[in-house]
Amino acid sequence: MEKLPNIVRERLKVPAGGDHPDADLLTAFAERALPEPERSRVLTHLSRCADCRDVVALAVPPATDSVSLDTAYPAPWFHWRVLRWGAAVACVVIVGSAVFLKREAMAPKSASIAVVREEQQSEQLAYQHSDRRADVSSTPQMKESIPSAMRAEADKDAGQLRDRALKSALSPKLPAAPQAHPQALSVLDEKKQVVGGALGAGAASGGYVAGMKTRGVVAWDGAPQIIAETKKPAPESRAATDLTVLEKSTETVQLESAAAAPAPSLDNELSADKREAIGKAKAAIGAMQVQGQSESAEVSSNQATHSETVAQKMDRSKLRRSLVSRWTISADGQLQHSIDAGQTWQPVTVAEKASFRALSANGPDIWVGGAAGLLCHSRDSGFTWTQVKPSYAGTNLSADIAAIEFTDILHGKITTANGEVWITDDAGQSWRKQP
Amino acid sequence: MDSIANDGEPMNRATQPVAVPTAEVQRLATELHVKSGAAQFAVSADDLAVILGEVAQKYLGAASSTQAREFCLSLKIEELVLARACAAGNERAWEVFMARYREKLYEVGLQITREESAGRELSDSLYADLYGTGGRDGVRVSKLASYTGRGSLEGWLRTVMAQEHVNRYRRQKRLVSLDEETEEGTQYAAPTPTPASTVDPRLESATDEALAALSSEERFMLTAYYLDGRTLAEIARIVSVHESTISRKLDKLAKSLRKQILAALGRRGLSRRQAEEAIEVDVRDLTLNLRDRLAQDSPGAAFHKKSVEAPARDGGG
Repeated sequence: MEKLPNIVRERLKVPAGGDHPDADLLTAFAERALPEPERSRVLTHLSRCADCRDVVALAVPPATDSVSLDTAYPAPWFHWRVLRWGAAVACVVIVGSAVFLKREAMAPKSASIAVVREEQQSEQLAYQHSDRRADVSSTPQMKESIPSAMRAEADKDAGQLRDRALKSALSPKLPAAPQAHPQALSVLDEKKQVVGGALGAGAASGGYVAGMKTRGVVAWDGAPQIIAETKKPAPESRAATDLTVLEKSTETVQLESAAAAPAPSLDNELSADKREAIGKAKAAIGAMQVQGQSESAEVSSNQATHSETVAQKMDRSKLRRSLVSRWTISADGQLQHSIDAGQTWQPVTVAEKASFRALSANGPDIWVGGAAGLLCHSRDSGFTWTQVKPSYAGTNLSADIAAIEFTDILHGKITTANGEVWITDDAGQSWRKQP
Repeated sequence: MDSIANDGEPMNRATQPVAVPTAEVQRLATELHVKSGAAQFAVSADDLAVILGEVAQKYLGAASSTQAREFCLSLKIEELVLARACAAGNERAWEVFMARYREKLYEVGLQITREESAGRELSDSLYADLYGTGGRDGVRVSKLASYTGRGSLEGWLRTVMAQEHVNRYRRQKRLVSLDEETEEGTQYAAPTPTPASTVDPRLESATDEALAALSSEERFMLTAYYLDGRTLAEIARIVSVHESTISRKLDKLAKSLRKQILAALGRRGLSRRQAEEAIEVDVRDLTLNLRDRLAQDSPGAAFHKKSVEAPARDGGG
């Protein structure tokens, strides 16, 4: 505080004239109940009378509410204290914004790098499987068993193959698939069909599926036969929605295969070896044509590309979830999943106030069961759930589910607490109760 | 116009002359009679009109009806009625007063004296004054009769106690024994002849001129801070301004006073250097007859910082 000159101190002691204000006036002054003229007169006396100042100081009630009014001497807004704090706040805001923008700029790159690595790994696994299938299906006798074998294999490697399918559509310019045996390639395509169906309504658009399928199927002139087999009724295929997708795809493929196929008469006159060689050449030419068509289709549909990108991102996230996710049921019946191989777990809400005791996970295909026949199924790694109510011969599954076993996405068995056994061979579309 | 109190004794008003209420005040008293709860204390509307007229006369003097009405409406009517009924000896009023304010008196006494025994003694002595000591001709004279309702009754009680406490301190200060002062180091020298003043009269006049330009609030803040040694928080509570504002204002005032005094000295023929030297001279080092310039003794350390011993009951009040 600035020092007051001594002469000022001395002159301030000059006493006031007049009478001292009475207790009522001093009280009213202390309680701020005096009108301005009276208040000023009292203040003038107080400024010259030490005793009255002492009385007022004692009479003022103790501070219970902080004096927040600043009516007499408001601080100017441009006071240096205000500017100082304002500058500090501005610096914090600027630094925070810069850090935030930098993080945002870095985030997409790291995410895309991680996705590319995952795709490369899964593609490698798919190639390895395709080689094994080529060996297995090399003999003609194995052709007939391909559908069921492929189904089993597809169910088991659904996640890996789906990854390759996604990659093929997302990155058409990536290195083309290695030259594999036509039959092996057809097996891969068959898996693509099943896998494409498994993606469900939330999966890539029909055009994407068609484009992918077309490329693969035209490469093998035996494709229409395989596709025909996949048109079998529901028990040998997945859900009805999946079949619808397959049928659409199938129709598209058949038209294109008919257009690209050579004249039957010419083929019949050639030897088997020559037919095989011609077939390979057709495959190469057709692949190039189809690839060009699919690329042009992708370029022309900008809005579709955007939605595809969003859908692809969704599929990618689902794929990642299925690849590394683990499932478990906690002690209190809460379904939990882990995306880091069990290091951390997050609860999954299947239904409100639902408690489960049995679990079966097969890639993205999850079954959970609880009391009173509560049975829920997810085909997309837990993103969406459907409650299933098994019934057989007019009898519903109502007992507590003790165990669920699914060897693949189609074939499963439910065991209840009272010893009942319920079996399905069509991914829960229909059930039968074991006697 | 005497009314009968509950205990049968005639209502005793204060010894001040009774003012004749104006018509406006009479009408207002009739309006406020029910609101004030005066009937329970045997205070009639006429009695209330007399009270209001007395208060208005004291503070307003000759005023218009509108001013009188506004003034009366600003009073604490209910507390005024209670106080006047207590002063008149109404038992019911005393019951209400004791229930509301007895404990508060002790609390205020403790806050003022900062010592339990002194605080209790102070509040007990005030209570005796409020109840009314024996006056002339057996007529009870109560301090509550002087309450006019400008502020709250609780605040008025606090102010009265503070006044009593300050008075006691002043009296005790004057009555301090010579032995005690000697022990404290005070020395008594022979009176010396009044020396000639060596303070430049131009400096005194320049300072008075600068101080006269201050507002009452500014002067109050300067005296409270620099003379009384009050804290910024205490000053802020008194003038209802934020503590930080007090600090800024005091700093600004001290600087501006210096500038104004220098400017005034310059107008009186002093050079800049001479003016600065004149201001820096410590008046306390000079032999100066300050008695003419001091109306009362300097308080020295604020009396509230010294403990005040409870005086004997005979000398109290």
